[in-house]
Amino acid sequence: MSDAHPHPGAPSSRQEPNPSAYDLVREAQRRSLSPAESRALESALAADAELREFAASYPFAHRATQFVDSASAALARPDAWTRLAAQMHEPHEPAAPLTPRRPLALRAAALLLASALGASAWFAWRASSGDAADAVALPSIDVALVNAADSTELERALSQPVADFQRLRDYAPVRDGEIQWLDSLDEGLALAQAADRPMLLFGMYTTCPWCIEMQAQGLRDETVLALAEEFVPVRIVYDDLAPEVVAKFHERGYPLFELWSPSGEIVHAFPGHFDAASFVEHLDHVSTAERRRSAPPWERVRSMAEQHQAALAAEREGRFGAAYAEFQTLLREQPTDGIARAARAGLERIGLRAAAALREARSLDLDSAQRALASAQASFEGTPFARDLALVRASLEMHQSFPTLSAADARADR
Amino acid sequence: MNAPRISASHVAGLSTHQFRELFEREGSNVLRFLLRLTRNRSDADDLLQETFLTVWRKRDQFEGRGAIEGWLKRTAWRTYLNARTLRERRSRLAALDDEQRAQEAAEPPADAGIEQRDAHAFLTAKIRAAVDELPEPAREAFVLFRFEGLTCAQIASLTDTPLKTVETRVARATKLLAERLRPFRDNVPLP
Repeated sequence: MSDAHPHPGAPSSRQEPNPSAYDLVREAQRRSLSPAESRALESALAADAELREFAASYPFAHRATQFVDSASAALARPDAWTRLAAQMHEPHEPAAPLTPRRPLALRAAALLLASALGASAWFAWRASSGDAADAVALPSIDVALVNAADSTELERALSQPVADFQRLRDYAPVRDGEIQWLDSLDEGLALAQAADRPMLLFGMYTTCPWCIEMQAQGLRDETVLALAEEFVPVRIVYDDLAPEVVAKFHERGYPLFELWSPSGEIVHAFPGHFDAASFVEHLDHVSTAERRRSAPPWERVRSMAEQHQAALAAEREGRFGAAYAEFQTLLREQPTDGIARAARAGLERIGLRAAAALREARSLDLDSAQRALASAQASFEGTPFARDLALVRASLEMHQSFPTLSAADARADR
Repeated sequence: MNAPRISASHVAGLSTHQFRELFEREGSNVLRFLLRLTRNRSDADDLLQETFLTVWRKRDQFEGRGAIEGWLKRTAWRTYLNARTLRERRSRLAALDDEQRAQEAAEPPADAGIEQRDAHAFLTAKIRAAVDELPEPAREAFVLFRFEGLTCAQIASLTDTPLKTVETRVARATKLLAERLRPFRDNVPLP
């Protein structure tokens, strides 16, 4: 609109010989300032901290809004004058009300927390005594591993990766209004199994505007955050991957969203950019509904992880009795599949260590073997293996030779 | 463009012919002014009518000093402000007409290949939404400053607001906008 003709009380450029420094900040984005203007702006900047802050962010705002003035090319409708002329001589009446705006539809989040914690199972541990002559039948320790010609198999079994739920102890998928993404598929699946939840995979490039926007907006929506609690969220940043891996993900799209079952099957894929409402629909997809309903609350998952880690710590410190008891307690509490597997592996490992202790003792002279067995028996006190060790030790003492070992029929069913 | 200006002294005795001339010369400017403020074409069209009707009905109240453009713009501003107040009374201004916005926003379809999506259109829609969703009256001040090209003093005069307040509003809008668009700032080349 032209301001060429000034008049009092109306906007007019001629009214202000001294433009505000704020105007100069804008003008600097549109044209080169004159030396006088530059000096004026500089001295104003030196004197005013608020102005400095404005001057720091305005160029970005100016540039970003360069093409968003939808009005710049708008013209009055061709029939505008006709409409106006028709009303010019009508009696004055209030203007027609504006179109009422449709209120934002709020989606209610339907969150079902299953209280599926039934009666705890009775865990029975059966062991029967072996008859000690110079041959000893061991009910608990895996005799085959002890008797094997070399220790390869035992060592292989002992070097299996140990499930570590350190991270899960204080993990929550949502914290401070943000999804707490894990950054590895393997860790994600391990946690999904431990938490008995589906995994939500989010694949993105850091330079993809839709990905960034989903991350900054859609993935912070309240309903989305509430639903995210039902998943283990994993984010893969494609930029960081090896080229051949990127290609594999790239063809699946980006931003990539997939729901995985804890066992690692993709049960629902929905690559693309979504508004919160349709994103919620995908997140709430039926393919994982059953699993999400039956998943234990996070608090319980964390407490199971805590228990597992306590058992693991005891095991690492050589307090096998305490570790064994902790793993057993955990198993009795009907843990999730992932945690149960880890706890059973823990019990198994302790048995392997007992077998290793026997092999070790057998390789020593009698005195050392006696001492080694006594020490091992103490470490394993509270486990069924302590009894096996005691049997061997007694036989060793009685016969002054290392007994031949065999498996007792009623070897504990682990 | 070169039509003789209607000087202030003419206005009181504005003929239908002269009024039409004024409408044809200034109608689109006033429409753009209202469009920037309302963000809605049909509202802007309605307010354009209302603005010119007010000028027509009050043509004998104009004191005849200065250019009629200034008076026209002030009338447009008041018309907009009244309509805004009315609408706010009816329902809390939801800032956006979601449906219309969704159509305009050129969101990429979920199943479209990345190559087919228009990143520029997407970004522009995001930035436009960021401007549209600024809180009033900071948004109004920013729009008048950035798009209407008014100086802070002109905005102060138009909206009967102290100059310092206008500057604070423009600065606040700028800050909010920069914050809102920060995710894109470092990663995506903006248009």
